[in-house]
Amino acid sequence: MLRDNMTDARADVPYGVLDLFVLKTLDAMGPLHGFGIARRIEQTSGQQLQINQGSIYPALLRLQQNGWIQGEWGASEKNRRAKYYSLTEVGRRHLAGQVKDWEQTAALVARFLESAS
Amino acid sequence: MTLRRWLAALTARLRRRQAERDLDEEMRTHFEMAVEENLECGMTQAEAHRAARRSFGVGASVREGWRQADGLYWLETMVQDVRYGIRTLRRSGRFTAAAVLTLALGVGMTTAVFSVIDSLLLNGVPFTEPDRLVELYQWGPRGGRPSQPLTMLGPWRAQADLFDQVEAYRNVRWTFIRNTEPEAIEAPSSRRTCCAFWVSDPE
Repeated sequence: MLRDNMTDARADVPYGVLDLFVLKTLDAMGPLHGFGIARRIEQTSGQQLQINQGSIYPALLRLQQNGWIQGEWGASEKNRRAKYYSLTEVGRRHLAGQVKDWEQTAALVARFLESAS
Repeated sequence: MTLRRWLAALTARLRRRQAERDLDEEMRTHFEMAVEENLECGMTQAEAHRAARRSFGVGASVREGWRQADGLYWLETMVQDVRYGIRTLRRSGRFTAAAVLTLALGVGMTTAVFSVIDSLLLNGVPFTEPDRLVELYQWGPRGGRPSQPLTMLGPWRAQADLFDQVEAYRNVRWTFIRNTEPEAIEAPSSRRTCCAFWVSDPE
């Protein structure tokens, strides 16, 4: 993927975390199109992350195939045809499990780093 | 891969065209939204387009990444590989003939050798105590016979108080190929007997 390093030094999302971010974003915001999801994640990260099209759309497809989200065509605020993604019931349950796992992992890492220093 | 994922990937495959048109439209929408956002930030039309395109990456690679995320991507590449193979083989007839011949010979020879080894070594004699086996012959005024007519099996079975069991076998000619020298060998075969008199499994 071509990247303009001069103007954009922001990091890509670590592998495996993007799915979680997408699910959480949809959980918090309700139905959203691909562009909106990407922007929302970037905003939430305090502009520390950059989500590019090459990773968000494959992620959306993967999540759809897992049955965690579903996409439906609708009209955007500016009356543009856009595909809106929303969490499914299965997706909501999956997200709850993922959040718990990540919280445990994060707490564990934090505790380890503190005690080991 | 879960069953759900499989089914989703399969349906996606069947509706591939539609899915790709959808993706193209999503990309277009995404691009337009990016341009709009740039315009709102105060860029000129040209700047807005350029910046959007830059942040967009290469269109084709988005599609490639999207395809690879598809659960059945491997199937697609495999079909492509097979098609390519068939095309290549068709183009070079002589090479194909040589390859097919080599394969056929190889498979045939291996099968022949294995069937000999199978009956001689692996499945030797299908009896639990081979040292108690005896062979029955008939002798008459004009000498012995190398083999017995199958009709004798019935009477021998009926009168076999000496034996637990009476069975028949037949010698079969095999062609054994070692190095390049074919060799004719003869081996008893009980499985290939002409009639269904191999009535009971001795075990």
